[in-house]
Amino acid sequence: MSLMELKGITKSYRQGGLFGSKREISVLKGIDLNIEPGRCLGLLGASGCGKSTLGRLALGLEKPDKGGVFYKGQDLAQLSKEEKTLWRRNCQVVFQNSHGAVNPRYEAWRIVSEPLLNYGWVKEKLKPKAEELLASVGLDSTALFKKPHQFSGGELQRICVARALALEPEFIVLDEPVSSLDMLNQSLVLELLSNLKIRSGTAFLFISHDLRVILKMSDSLAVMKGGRITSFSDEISKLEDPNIPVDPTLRTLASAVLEAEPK
Amino acid sequence: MAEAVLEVSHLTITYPAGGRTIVDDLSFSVLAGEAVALVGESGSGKTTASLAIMGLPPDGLRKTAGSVRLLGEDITDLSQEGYRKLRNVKMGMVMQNPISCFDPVFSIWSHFKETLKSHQSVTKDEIREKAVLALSEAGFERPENVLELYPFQMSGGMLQRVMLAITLVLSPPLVIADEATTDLDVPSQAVILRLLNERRQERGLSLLIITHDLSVAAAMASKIVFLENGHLIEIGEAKTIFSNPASTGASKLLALHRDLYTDRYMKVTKNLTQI
Repeated sequence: MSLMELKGITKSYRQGGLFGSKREISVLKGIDLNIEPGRCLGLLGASGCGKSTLGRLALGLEKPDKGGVFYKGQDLAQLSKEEKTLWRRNCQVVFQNSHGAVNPRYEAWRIVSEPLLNYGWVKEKLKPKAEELLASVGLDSTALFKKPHQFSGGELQRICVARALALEPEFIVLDEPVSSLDMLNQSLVLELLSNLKIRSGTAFLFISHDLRVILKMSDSLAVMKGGRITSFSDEISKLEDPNIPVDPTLRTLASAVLEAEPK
Repeated sequence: MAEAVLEVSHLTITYPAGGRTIVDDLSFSVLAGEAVALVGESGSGKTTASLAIMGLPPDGLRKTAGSVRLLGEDITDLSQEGYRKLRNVKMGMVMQNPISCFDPVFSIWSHFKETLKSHQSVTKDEIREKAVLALSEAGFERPENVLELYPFQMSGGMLQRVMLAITLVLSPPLVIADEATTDLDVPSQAVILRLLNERRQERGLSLLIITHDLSVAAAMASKIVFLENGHLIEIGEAKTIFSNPASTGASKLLALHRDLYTDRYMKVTKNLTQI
């Protein structure tokens, strides 16, 4: 059974209104997508195609206009408060901009242990657990009492990954987790995530505009353009077969990737 | 031999009072029509070096040694007023985050007006004419409409193209692009880089490209300057460095860079580009 299921999702935002006239902007135009347990689904698309909105819907941060988001067959909109609390624990997120995703006044141990606090951990256990979590993303105990501005973007992104892991979720939405990192941190974060998937069978929705990163990480691939999914491959290795039909959107995105070597 | 447009020699930047050295004894030059990439990981000092070259050293930092020459003229100790006259005329700059480079309450038209009026005496019609030309060269199909827009109405990729149009409107001989495409998606990145490359090939624009992304360096630059912890670790022809890096720092980054181009990626893109 699917872990998360998105069925017939449409979503539009309202723009303007204060001075100009209001208009509706349709962002998602009928999306069906399944996220299987323990697998990484890559979501590829250019800026503005609706991929981040889709990620937010899968997290329950936005409500769809039409259609529904289902967790193990249950409609999120129908869940009781207690059920929702339980679901939320199994569903975490890492965003692109790590500096915007943490409280600037909190020390690192408090950032990573905040989810634990929300789920009733006693205070004495938080710091040892935080140290363990930070160690799992390659940060030593000197990091515990530093604040966000004392970390580089790559270190802070690893702290965000540690926070997402704190409750051992079944599913993590990764919204461009490495696009603003330098190469060393990019490879560190990607390796961390691959190991996590193998070790604890966490499912990922990996959102990116970079085909190189998607092909490195994902088991299946959905390509988006203009609020629609233009192609879906359940096994990403099938894309290596020269006889499969080519999705023009995927071709455009692939042709924009720069080559590895100088000409 | 072509003339050096930018010549940086022995540039050293430190925190005052005997503090940490951020850039240590950096020397390189950019020749006319040449594209040079300044490459390094976060914290290697590449942005600090580029800001010092542009006369915008970050708070608390100062140049303690070395010199910067632009078109043969020493600009090391120029006043802020002196730098203001240079910028956009002799040296254009494109920064990483386009949103913070625009004033949110001014339209794109006002931004063009400000740039042009601070260097030339131009009439309204001339501003419009130049702005429309610059925007259409930056790939906008309806440049007149773009002039009426405000920054918040545009995406990051569009804003960066507008930034580039403003930077190029006075045709400076040198453009410094500091991580200009890092925050953009792959298609927008390709558009910006193609524009810069066309300018270089057609009109001999010199480029200094600051990036951590070796694929950008590979696509754009003929010469690469590698920085690590403020030190220059390697400098040379892009092809030579890519095929045979001399330093361990450069080899390590190149290995990480090539890791992204997996066998699967190569096979998949081969299928996709076959027609």
